[in-house]
Amino acid sequence: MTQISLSDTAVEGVRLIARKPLAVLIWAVVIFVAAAIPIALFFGTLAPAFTDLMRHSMGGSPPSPEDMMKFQLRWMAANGPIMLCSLVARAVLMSAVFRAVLKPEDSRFAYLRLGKAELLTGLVYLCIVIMMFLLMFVGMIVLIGLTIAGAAASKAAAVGVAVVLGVALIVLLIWVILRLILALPMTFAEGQFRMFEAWQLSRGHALQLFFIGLLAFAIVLVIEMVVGGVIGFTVIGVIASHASAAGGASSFFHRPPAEWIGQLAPWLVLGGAIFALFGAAAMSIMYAPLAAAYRLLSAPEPQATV
Amino acid sequence: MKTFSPTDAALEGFRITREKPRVLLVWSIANLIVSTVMAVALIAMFGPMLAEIEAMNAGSDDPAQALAMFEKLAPFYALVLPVGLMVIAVWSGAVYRVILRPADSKYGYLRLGGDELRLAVLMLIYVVLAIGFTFVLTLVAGLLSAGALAIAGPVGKLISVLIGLAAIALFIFVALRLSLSGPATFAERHIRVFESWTLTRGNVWRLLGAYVVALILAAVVVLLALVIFVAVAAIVAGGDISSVGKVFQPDTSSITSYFTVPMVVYLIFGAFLGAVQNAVVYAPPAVAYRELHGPVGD
Repeated sequence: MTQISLSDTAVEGVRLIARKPLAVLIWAVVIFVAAAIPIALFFGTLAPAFTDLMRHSMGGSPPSPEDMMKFQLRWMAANGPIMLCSLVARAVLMSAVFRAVLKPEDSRFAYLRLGKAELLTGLVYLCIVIMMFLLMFVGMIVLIGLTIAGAAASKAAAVGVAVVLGVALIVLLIWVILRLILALPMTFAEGQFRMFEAWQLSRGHALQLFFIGLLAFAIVLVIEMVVGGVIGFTVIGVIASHASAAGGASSFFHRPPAEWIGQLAPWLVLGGAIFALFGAAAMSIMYAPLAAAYRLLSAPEPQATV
Repeated sequence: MKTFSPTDAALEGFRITREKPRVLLVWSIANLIVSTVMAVALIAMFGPMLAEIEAMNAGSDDPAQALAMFEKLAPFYALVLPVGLMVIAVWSGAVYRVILRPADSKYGYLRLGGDELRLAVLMLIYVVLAIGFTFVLTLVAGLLSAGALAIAGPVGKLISVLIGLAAIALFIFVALRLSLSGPATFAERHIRVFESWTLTRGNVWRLLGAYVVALILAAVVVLLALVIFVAVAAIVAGGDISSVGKVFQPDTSSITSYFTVPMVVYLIFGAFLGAVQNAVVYAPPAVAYRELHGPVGD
């Protein structure tokens, strides 16, 4: 059986960033734009209704049910396109990472495309997410039912049942994700919707995939702590300096939102750009190992020489 | 042991809609005709009553009122249930025909004959069997749970929950094992109630996987299509979301109040979406049957 090299596969994303830094930079721009569009759509659609609701609430008169209904309808209408936009962006970027690993020569447009491969990869991603939600939902019903029943015996039994079943459910969810996750690069590489074929491919490799994921996640976590720390301290510092100039945080935020948002806007954009860069790096680090693992496992077994 | 690819089975419906666009068009038009005729007939016969029931229903938990409502609705169901049964039989028959008798392509694979009648009868048999099985299962699970509670004391509650979960799992298992009865009845031109049990031996997980993926994909397609529909409709309506929302709660008091312009657009859109959904939902068992049984001679 083909073995996956843990150290080689897990750092495939880091290697990709070192090999193609410009592509990763362009992916960051895509993340920034893909995040900015929904935010603009969100504020453009909801800001007036939200301001109205806030004005009513602050004026002491609660908003009428009609106003609340209008706001909810706008919220729902804005939510759909936002989710769609985010799904498309994820599919495009994920496919770009897979392309960079599996078809490195196909480097036009920084590996970014919007075609059949992206559509299928996005669909498989959505399917895996929904399947996990369903599994979690069923698992939670079983867990709650058995915990309540266990409570009849004793409180300790209920806690024991809840802990054991909770851990078992988490292990089951992780195991199923590991068995299905290679469906993403597989679908991309083969240009066909693949789901249960990945189950066969990952047979006997769940533990290796788990450690690869863990290592990749650890790398992302370290970067996140550094980047998050820098952004966090910068944000706090900038807000504190603006607030002290305005005579304290309370008076700074009590001004009209357009005013203080305008003052902080350059910093928000800068923070967003750093966040997008981190996002692109994190995606490379998390998705590239999947493509590398798929490449290894799907390669034909070497013929034994006589 | 014969097996099949669950992914191929789950995607067969989408393959049909992609490779046979004319068939999809015929199904969409047929769907539109059926939904329009049904809406006209129901509003003409029960329209004012439906509006009245809706008004009665708002904010009332009174059992007597619910009973009165049910009495009023009885003739409505007496019409809707048999028609609905035949419509389902025609749709499932058309999808089975594409997969199991692809050469028989007249009228976009749509028919209303012996095959459809057998499918409708099979559905009725299954409704009766499902009611009986649920009754027996509930009775047995109830008795076992009562026994566990009486014998095992506080731990009995835990055991009774496990018995309930096992009963649900058994129901799903039996439903999966019998899920190829429709295609079997269609392909063999005889009502096949239990043949599916033998065919599906050793393939339960594959069937479950195929059905789950097909249902998820159908739900995703419908949701995405609705999102796009609402967004486009909202733009056309000049940002008036509430007017778009009215198509989901139509005014059934008269035919003219029901068939507004947004409603007609929604019906056309829904007819197309329904045709895609039928293909996606009914195709997986037919593919599984074809692979597990092999060709059936005419």
